[in-house]
Amino acid sequence: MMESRDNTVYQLAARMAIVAGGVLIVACALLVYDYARRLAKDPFEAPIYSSLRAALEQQPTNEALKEHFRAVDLELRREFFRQRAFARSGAVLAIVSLAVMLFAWRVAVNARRRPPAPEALDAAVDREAMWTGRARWAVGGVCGVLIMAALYLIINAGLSGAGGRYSLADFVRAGTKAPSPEANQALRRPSNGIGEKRDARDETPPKDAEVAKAWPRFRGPSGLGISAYGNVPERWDAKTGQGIVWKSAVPLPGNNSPVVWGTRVFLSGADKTKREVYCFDADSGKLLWQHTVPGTPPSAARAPKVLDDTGYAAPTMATDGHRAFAIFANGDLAAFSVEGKPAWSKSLGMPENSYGHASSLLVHKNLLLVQLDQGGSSEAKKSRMLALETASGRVVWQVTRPVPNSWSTPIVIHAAGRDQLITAADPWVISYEPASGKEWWRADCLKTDIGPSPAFADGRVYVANENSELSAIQADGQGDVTATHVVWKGEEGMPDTCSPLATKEFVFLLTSFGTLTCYDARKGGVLWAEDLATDFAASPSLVGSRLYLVSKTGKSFLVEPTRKGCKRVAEGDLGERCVTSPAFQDGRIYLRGSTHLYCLGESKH
Amino acid sequence: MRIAWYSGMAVMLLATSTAPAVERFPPPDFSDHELPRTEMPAARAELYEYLDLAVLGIGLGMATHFAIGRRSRRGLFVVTVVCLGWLGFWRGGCICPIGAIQNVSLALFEPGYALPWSVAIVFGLPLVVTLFFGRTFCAAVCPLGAIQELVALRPVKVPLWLDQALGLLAYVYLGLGVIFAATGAAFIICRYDPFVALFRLGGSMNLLVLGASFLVAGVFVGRPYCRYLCPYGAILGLLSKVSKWHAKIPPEECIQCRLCEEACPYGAIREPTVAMQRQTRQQGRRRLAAVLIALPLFVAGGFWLGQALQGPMAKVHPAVRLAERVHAESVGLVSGTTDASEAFRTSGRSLTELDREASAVYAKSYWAGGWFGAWMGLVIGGKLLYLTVRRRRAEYQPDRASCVSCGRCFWYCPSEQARQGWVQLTPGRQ
Repeated sequence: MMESRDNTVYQLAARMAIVAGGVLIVACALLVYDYARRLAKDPFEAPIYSSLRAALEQQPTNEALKEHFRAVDLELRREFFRQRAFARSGAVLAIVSLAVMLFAWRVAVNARRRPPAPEALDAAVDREAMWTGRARWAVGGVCGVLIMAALYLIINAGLSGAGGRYSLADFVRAGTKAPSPEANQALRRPSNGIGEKRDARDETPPKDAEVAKAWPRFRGPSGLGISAYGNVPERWDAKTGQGIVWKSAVPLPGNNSPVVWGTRVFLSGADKTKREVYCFDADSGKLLWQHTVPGTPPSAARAPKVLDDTGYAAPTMATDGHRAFAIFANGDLAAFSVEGKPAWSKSLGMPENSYGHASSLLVHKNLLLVQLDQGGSSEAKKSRMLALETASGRVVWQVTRPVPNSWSTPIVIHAAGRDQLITAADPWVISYEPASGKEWWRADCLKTDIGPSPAFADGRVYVANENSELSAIQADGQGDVTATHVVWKGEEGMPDTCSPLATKEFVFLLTSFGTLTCYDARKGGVLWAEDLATDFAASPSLVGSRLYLVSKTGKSFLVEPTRKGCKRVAEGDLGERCVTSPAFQDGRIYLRGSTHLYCLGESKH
Repeated sequence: MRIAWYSGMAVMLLATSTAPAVERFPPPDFSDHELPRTEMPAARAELYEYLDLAVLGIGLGMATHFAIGRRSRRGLFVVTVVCLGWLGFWRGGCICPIGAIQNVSLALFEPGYALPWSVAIVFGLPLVVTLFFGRTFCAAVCPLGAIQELVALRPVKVPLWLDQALGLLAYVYLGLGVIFAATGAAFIICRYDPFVALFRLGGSMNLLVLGASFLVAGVFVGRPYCRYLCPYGAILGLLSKVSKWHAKIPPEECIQCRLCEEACPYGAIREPTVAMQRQTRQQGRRRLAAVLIALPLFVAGGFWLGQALQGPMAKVHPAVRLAERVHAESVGLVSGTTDASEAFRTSGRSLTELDREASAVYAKSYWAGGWFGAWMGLVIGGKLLYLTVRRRRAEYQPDRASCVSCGRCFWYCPSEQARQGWVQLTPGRQ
């Protein structure tokens, strides 16, 4: 009778346990499915959300669009909370079914419970001795595992999320300066130059007069493409050797332009695996020194993806007369003394740049300024502007920039009684205080891929780019000056890569297909346009009142602009492709072709 | 069964892997939208605090009564369900004596931290009870133990040698929990509480999977968390060794039927010992001498190795992690920013100040690591000592450190059944 009752209880309980188990499995499966769905389908990445956001950026004052966006936003939020409620209900269902299953299972087990039937043991065997002996070995094993784990942690005690190679101790020991692997190694072994600590107080930044004499960065002392010297050559021909002082082969390719300080000309070159810096003698063209830039993990672990037109060494170097600085497509940044001694190097991380990093460096006082715009969207907040101490590489300040990747080079101007660091990217032209990174003003002027660098003349900043407009911005604003300080705009002759050139009177734009457009700087409006019938990548330069324009084929044009038009004065031919901008010095022009560095001028011979 | 055991362990390992994306809910996408002000919820009424303590006290009293006095497995089961409901699902598993270890540690090492009296009671009361009655807290009051007790439906026996070795992990966890709490780095015992997400019906997917894995494993391996990880269980085990009125298996005389040993799913019952041979005794003495000599070496070696763990231990502290992150972002070693680094940058706090704080933690971690290593050396040496010292038993007895007073053995003990009047023992068949 009792057995029959137990059997019935068992049958009932077992079935209940199975049903509850089934419900539990279904509830868990639904919860997991719901979780996976939520992970895979982020409502805020929904196409409608993205498209509305993009539309709103284009039409920020469109109230109807805003209302629509709000409705979509609300619906997405409701959906979110519906999902939350679903998950909560699912969890309750799962717990209840688990409790029922456990209860039923336990009842079933109890109904069929039979007392254990232990086997007889040999009373003579010392089982305690046996298992304690094994246990001692097992404890030894656990001890060994713990020691191994400790050693693993000690050896790999790296920086969380940074390749596991650096720690706070490295930063602190290095005096919170940039802990490049070289600096770390230098802390552990005799110095080889890299990571050598130099006291910034030992040297003063170059004086303005010294900077003005040199060509220390992309497009000259101010980055405006204006030569301080008027006695530079007007004609040259590589075939005949006319006007060629010297010509030297550059070991590795690079689309960067030469920079010059005193008797030294600096260039960089790189390919997929190697990055180098070169110093040539300005008088003889002799390669004075060349250095490989040490690979700096983690960025050097793989080659960046770049367009052929950009290459691995597109950014032009910068120099302050004490050191020469170079940055490459993989984010490696290096400083060498002008004598060729490695000063410091570090990685800024692999830039996420669709064509390859190309923004050039510049030095302002004792700061090396780096515009590191990256990422396909400003939402990612990956773009940064950094200021590093030239002597040590220590980051003095950095700010996150609300822009995606760009290729333009910033300039430092003095306007409205203050130094301003002007940057151009999509969509913002932003002015920062160079010493602190504090933002002065910003203007929404540009669209899509921004290659041309800003220009400046007579208190106005000029920016232009293909797919957007030429904007003249009065550089004395504060905050968002889009509506208040954009003095005029132009739509014709927009450049792709060539930067604008501005004077008090004119603003010149050069398209990639060879149209030179001249605007009236004061009032705006096109004065004239000249078709040069060849392709250009290099930015125009101004010597005296004449423009130097170097085409991709290596053919150059010297034109004399007036308000009514321009007169072609002379032409030159480098004999090889050229996408870089010339550096002007006393009686000389330094120009980099696809494989050679040229010094143009009156040959001593 | 073995496959199930290994599968359970594999799932648990998977569950401890990197967390998937955290669910976030960004604010509306309009600059003119005013975000509602974040308000702190009102403090929990003090009444509930008293109520929690009352439930804990009554639970302990009832569990002790049923384990020691009434020797009633059914009674313990009822207490288990009630305590699981109140302390687990209703109170969300917080506060519990296991996590309170950290509050007490922080209070001992950080003068600025005042230990709430309720936390002190929650931490101390089970210890006092254990000192007198054994681990009756684990038997039915602890919600973590209770939920595992309920799912232990088909437990298999873990070999004793393995059970003893795995039991060391609880001491590792205890050491880390105390050290990290004392240095203000983290309350890791709470952070990785495997059942809290189940109790609260929500939490990170990792913790949910971890808790579910422990439950699945708990069907086949009795109370895996209690036996191999619970830091409070490690303390209670030590106290229980010297408990005055620990639960006995047979109420009177043991008839050595071995039923209790077979019935115990936790490997907590020790069989009677046999007389040792002279040679074995001599070997044992030599071994004991070696372990006694090695014990200070273990402690010293552990201290030395622990000091070398300074770096990894310091990284658990948020200030160190933040300082490293900010430096790494500054030099471009990592891309993007984290919420913490963003908050730091907007706080106006200087990096030098952060570095100073992080460096202080770093320096503190040197000694913290050393003491942790020494603790582990002591634990390993102590365990070897325990396994070397021979004890004499004439009958089946619970290992007081391992026994959680669950009362399963009572049910099967013929002497107990006779005492209850369910069966009658025939003297000739003993």
